[in-house]
Amino acid sequence: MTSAVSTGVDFTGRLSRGLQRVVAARGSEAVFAAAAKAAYDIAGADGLCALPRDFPHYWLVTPEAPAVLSLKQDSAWHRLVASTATAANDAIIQHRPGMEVELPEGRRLRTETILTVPLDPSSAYLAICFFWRDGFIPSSEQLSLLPALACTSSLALRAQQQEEDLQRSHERQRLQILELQHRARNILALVRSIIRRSSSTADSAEYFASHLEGRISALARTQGSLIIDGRAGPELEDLIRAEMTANAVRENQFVLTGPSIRLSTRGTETMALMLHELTTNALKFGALTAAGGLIAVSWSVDNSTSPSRLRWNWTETGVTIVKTTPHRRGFGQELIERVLPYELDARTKFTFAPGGVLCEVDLPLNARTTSFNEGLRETSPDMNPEISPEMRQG
Amino acid sequence: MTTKPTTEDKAPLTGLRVLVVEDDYFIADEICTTLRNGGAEILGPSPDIEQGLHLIRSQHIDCAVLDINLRGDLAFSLARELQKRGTPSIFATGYDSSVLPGAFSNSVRLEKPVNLAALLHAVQSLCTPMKTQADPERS
Repeated sequence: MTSAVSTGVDFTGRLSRGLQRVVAARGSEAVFAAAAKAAYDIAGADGLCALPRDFPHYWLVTPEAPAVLSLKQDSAWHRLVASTATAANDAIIQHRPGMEVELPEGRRLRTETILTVPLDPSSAYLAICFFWRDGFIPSSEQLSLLPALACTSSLALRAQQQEEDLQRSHERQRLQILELQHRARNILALVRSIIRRSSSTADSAEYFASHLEGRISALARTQGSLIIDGRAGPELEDLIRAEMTANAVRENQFVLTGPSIRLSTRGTETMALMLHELTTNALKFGALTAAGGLIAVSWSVDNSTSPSRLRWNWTETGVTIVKTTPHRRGFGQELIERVLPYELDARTKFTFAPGGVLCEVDLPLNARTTSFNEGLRETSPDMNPEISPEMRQG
Repeated sequence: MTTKPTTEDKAPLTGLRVLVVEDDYFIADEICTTLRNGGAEILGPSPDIEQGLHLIRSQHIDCAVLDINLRGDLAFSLARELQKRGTPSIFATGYDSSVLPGAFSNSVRLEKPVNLAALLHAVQSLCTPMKTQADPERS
């Protein structure tokens, strides 16, 4: 057993050059490769092991090649670090631990010395361990330089990680802005279509203005509750209640029953427009014209099909006189019979029954109708939409 | 401005088959009505990529008007499919041009709400060169 003796070798100069290379390296592989090379230059180390805090792979790096190895649940490296954990932040040197290190390409190395440098809790790594083969013992001067190398490597990695996080956050923000821009343009296009349609069916300017105002207000109500990144519309019940309130429908004139559910942005807008048309119709011709009239809105989620389906019913009762089917297709009818099937794959039914209007909507709860899965998918692989608890059940 | 409108001016897209892929009913309806009034024959409108792809594979198409975000899916797969067949695409979208992949950065992009006169013009100008080639009298 020969101890390497300091013979005027400029170890601090080697450390300094090593640190520079570590800091200049980009990416984990390059940082560890630079650190292993420096540890060899400074102290003749045969390699290093970087043990992660919470991912299943560790780095085993020799001056020749870095390798990523799969971490077994209770690895020798883990036991080693655990056995030294009591000594808080101090580097621990162990001689003859009798440990065999598995090198890349199946080679093995029996260790003579291991230096474990625990890292600070903010590091993604628990510790960096330097090892020497059987028959080689580094001097205390050489060993004293390695903790600085380990800590610098950890800092360099953390700085790079923060830089990446920042870039990702900028990218996410850029996508959110694009999404908002897209939504604003889409809604303007929708408003333009509504204006066109309202004007083609209006008999007078006043009729046109009041209908247009009502429709745009219904649409506006959906916007306030849409979360900024467009991933969730309001609760279906709140949407219906808001429409009733906006039309001064009294609490005893309607009953709402159904589970908590949120539709997609577009689904919400279409439903809001439809609710507005149904409510306006009820005020003019249906249940809300009579004292005893009642609107029952009920919905349920059918999980026996794949995908699950939302079955939604609007039932008016207590009306004696109901206007018969209008001679031309109104905006509301077009919404129910054309728009919902086209945009939401819904099956719909709209009838003027003796007691009042009946409207049935049966739609699949899929990516386009529910509140997850919106936005730019192809360009944003890291923007995994969060599935709302309601949908997980559904 | 003072020239008499000819049949061709009134229906400049006569004989053209235009695919419309747009997930918003009202916008799709507006685009289709405009193009139909311009004389074009409409394929679709399709609200999603699947139906759009089916039409591309089964029909002759002169030109396509595509929305970029189709129910959360991006329409570039359709544009690529059309590009393979040499069919030009027009993107009618609420997105910025930065969203367009490099291969389509020179494509015609109309911002929503779409200027309908510009849409007619775009379809006409994208399809006319092919008509000219096919028509020896024009050269």
